[in-house]
Amino acid sequence: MPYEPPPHLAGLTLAQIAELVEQRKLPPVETWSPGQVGESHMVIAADGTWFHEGGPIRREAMVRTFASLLTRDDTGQHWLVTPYEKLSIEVEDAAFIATDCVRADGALAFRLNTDDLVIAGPDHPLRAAGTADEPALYLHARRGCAARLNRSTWAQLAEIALAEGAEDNGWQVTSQGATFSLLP
Amino acid sequence: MSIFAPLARAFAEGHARDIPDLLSDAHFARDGRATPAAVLIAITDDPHDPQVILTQRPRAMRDHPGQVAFPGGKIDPGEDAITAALREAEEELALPREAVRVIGTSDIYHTGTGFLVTPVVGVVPPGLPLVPSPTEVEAWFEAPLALLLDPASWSANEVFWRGANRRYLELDWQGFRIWGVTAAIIANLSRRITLEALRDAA
Repeated sequence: MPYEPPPHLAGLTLAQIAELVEQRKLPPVETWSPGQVGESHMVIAADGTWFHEGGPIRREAMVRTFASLLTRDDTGQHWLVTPYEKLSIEVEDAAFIATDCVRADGALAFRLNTDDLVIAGPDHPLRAAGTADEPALYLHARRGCAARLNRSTWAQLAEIALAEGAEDNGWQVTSQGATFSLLP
Repeated sequence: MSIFAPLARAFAEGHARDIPDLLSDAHFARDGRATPAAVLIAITDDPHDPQVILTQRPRAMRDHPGQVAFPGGKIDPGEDAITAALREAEEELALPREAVRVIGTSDIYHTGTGFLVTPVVGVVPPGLPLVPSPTEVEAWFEAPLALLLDPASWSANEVFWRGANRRYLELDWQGFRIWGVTAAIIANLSRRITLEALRDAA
């Protein structure tokens, strides 16, 4: 099973993106109830860089593996979960960074810094926070964890919205039947 | 429900007794070279059907090219076997050492090419999106632990090598041919954790 990162979003149909999302296997974190609790001494910085005991984790493959074990509970605490323990991890802003965005048919598809693909919709809502001058857009990625749209992705999304009449509809976009406001 | 505790119990019980006739290729290692090495036998934490993570080495590699192998390699100065096995798995597969819960070390296997291989047995979360490092690993795959520990899965073959007939074990799993050092390490482990003990643990 050699690793092949997903192709660029542009040029894929919604069906192709949905199939890639479907293919992505993740550990069945929900089925585990680990007895031990500890600290991972890891931090996900606001720019998406992972740190372990102060040093950046430079291997993207390692970050992808760790990210497959990531959850966030109702109190907002992020955890790295294995079948036997869960380790707290500090997240400065959001666990993921969305680095690309396209309109594919009736959906908005995003690519994350971990090569995951996410299609916005009822299960993956977009949320606008921040201020009108400095909006911060978040996409629900998985297991309570959010992805913050980086500046260029936010600009891509704004262009899509503009082309679809954002100035007349109050800066709303739709994806898979759900409507989201891009204004905080 | 984690397989760790029952598997660790079976591992401890299996290693509590002497087994004099474990496989070894020490008699083929004629040049006296004996390099300490370690491999990680990573078992996925699935109580119903635990899998073993195996790699296929690149065909261009000097030692054991193209072979199916456990992640692993030489033990660096100052390292113990566990540290080396976890480091190698991290380097080869991006398998974080934090994700491995080590059960223990099993019997050292003396290869015909002069390595003293310590198998390190550990449990890992199932479904990790592991990524092989292209220079060290061509592909990785999982094989069921129950299949590997079942002596009936293996066929014994012979080859004439270094002036003697040499018997080796072989198993074809989904197109991957498991034989040689890896097969021998598994065969020795199956003397320590029998299929029956695994079924009791699962």
